[in-house]
Amino acid sequence: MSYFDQAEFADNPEPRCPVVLCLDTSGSMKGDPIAQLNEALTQFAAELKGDSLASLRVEVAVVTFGGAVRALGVHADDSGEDTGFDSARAFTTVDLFSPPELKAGGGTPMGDAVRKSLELLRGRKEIYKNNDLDYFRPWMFLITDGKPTDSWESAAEQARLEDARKGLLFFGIGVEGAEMETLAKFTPENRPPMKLRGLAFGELFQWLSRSLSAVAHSKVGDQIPLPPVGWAEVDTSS
Amino acid sequence: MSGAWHVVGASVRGTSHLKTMTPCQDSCAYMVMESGTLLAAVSDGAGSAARSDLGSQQAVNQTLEILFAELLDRRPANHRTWGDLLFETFCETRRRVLRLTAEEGGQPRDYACTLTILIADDDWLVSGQIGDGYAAVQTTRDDLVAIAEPQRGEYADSTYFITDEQAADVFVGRVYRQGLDIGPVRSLAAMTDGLTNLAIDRRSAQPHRPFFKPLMQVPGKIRDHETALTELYEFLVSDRINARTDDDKTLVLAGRPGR
Repeated sequence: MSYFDQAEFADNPEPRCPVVLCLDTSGSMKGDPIAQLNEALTQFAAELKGDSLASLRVEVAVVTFGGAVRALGVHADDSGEDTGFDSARAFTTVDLFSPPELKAGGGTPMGDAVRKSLELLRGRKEIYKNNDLDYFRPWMFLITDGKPTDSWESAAEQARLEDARKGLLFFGIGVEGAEMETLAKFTPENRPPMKLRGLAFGELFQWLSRSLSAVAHSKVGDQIPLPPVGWAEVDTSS
Repeated sequence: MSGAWHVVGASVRGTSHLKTMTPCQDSCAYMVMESGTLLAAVSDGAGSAARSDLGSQQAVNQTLEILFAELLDRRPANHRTWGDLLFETFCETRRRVLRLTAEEGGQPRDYACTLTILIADDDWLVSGQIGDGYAAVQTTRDDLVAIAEPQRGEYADSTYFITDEQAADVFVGRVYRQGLDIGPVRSLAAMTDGLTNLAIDRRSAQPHRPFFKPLMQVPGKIRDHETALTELYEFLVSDRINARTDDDKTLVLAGRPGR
């Protein structure tokens, strides 16, 4: 541990918008899907880096579930390493974001992944509070092409509750083959899961990057309209 | 009684000075006396002054030397005597810098530099200021309080220097009794103006909490001074910092693990 491990808030006191990308990397994602997802992540990073304010405000964490559940390092120094769900390490602002190379394999422990992602976000908010940093309402993106292979009901319940009390914005995305009825149990009623057309990960992440840019350029607590993809308006207050 | 002071400080050259091959004109000095008293000084040599790197080195070193000798076997007992000691220290530091100037055949303005002085023990907290340095403390109640604030000179972007003729009139000393005038001090930070645009909240003119909160935690954690010093250098030369300031910058951080 470094003595200056939280200096990231001293040299970048911008308010933060934390985003957890909770990604299905189970065996069924092998081949084209995982390749397209990796490419989309790279484009997402490149696009958001082009927005200097969003680069300093949006913080990304990548949680994968494919056999094991991991929070992967996304900083150039530790990209792809297992961070052990350490809220201080798992998030990186976009300016320093280096997307990990995802590999597919194993089952779909989606329940565990969502539970741990929620915990990771809670930890991150604690760190913001300890450093007196303002923050936007966190985003969580769950992307899956299947159905959970673990017990997921309580995790889905937690996600819905957290979203309902405005603790985060939860988005569920189903890739071809996803069990949409199960995914719908995680998402709030007014924001049902969206089904991805083919393997259009690129468009999805482009939408995400534009949406996050819009949030990053707003004031904490503002209502901002998002680019059209099913939802019209989202409340970004923390 | 709480734990001894842990302190780390460094001055680094700004990116604009690297381009023009100007030396680092900032200096800092700090020490913890055997009695437990913390002494620190930071100084920013004027950019336009030819020998201000030497001026700032002299200013911080002489300040510490004088304070060390004065506090070796006595300790002021009240606000007035602390104030006197501080002012005498400043005047003597100034005399010594001017003497050096004369010895080297230069003009006082060639050695122009600011000076921020900090003294802290269990009971007292003392700050002295000429120029645009900045110092703040974090109390045990987690308040952040500025104890030395930048002085604006007559013209935009100008400030006052130890070598100015009227320096003694401009010098501001503050003496706090901890637990009375100010909460007990847990940590403190002193810096030159290279860092003040990060450290001071522009709207409120108060210490910017997201800047200080993480940094004020540093000294309490220090077990190994060399490592802390290396990490402080890395912090001060990081791209993030350089994106916001191209000036020389100095940061001294001190804190007590027990508080």
